Amino acid sequence: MGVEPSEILTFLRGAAAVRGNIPKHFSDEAKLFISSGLSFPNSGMTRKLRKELDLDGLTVSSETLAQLALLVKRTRLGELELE
Amino acid sequence: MSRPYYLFRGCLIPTRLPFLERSSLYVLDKLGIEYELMQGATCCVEPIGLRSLAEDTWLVVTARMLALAEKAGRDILSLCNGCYLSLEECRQELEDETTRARVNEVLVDIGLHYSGNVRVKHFAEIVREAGQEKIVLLTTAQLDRFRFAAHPGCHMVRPSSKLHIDESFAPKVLDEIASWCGSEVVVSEKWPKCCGGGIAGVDEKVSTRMLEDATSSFRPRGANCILTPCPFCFVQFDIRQKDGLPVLFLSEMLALAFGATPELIGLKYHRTRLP
Repeated sequence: MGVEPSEILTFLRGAAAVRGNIPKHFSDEAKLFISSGLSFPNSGMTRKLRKELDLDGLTVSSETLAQLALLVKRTRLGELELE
Repeated sequence: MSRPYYLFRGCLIPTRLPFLERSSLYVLDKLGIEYELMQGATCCVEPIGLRSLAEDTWLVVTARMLALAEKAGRDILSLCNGCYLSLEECRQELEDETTRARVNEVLVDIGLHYSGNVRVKHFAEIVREAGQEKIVLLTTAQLDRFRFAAHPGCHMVRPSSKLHIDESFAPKVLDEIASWCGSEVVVSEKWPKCCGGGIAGVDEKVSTRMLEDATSSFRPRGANCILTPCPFCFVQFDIRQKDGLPVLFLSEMLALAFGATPELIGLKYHRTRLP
């Protein structure tokens, strides 16, 4: 009672991740997120397009990445086997 | 009282679809919205993949973004449905004092604290708040060649218990905004279906079937373009949709209405050809 179906799914997906059942796409995404702060790659094509559109260089500072690393370490993402 | 915004671009728009960022900036400037790019932003811990791996990571990383905005005396404006859900749902979770205290125990290690005083807004919400009179006044170009199928995307309106920009059943914000710009929405669904974008990386076959199911009625019902405020839906429609029905992001439609040239907002980067 009082539990939404989505909460059960969320719990099951989290439990599966703890057991190492992580789709490769999500595992790759998590590694990229931890290393770059973003969940999509800041590629050469990104930089080219952004320059053509007169947009900034889209950088994530080392200070931001250090903060992210600490938060990940303190939470479950830091405990998961992502290989 | 309205506060200035931190503009939260997310990941998909600035990395793969920067032309959507260009049109969004153009529209915000035209509307006179006070904003600056969010300093120290990371991924919102996107709600489909990353968040499902570690709920507590989502909560503290997204809370960090709220804390940064609070420290800067700003609210957050999101260009992306997924980011909007992530940030707004986190904001609501942190209304609970116990949860907020638990999260602050982690945030203190990076010199931050969140007190619960930030609002999160979706781009469509900002446009709607600007109002019909202002949008009509700014509209200088004829867009009557477009007959839109309006597709809000899941996370502008769902879960309906948490997201309140629009009704989840028979949403109408896109129809309203399009009509203010002098264009017509000919397909307005009672219950818009998921485009399948969230699982494209996990099961392409299922994702494609969902995409076909979501869009199959658009062209037969007279639409010649899809209108969406969601970058994930945009990718599905522009790149993976077999029918080839073109798509405009909400900010692109507004930018065109406000007089931007297709060159300025990078419409040439679309895969599908616009009417």
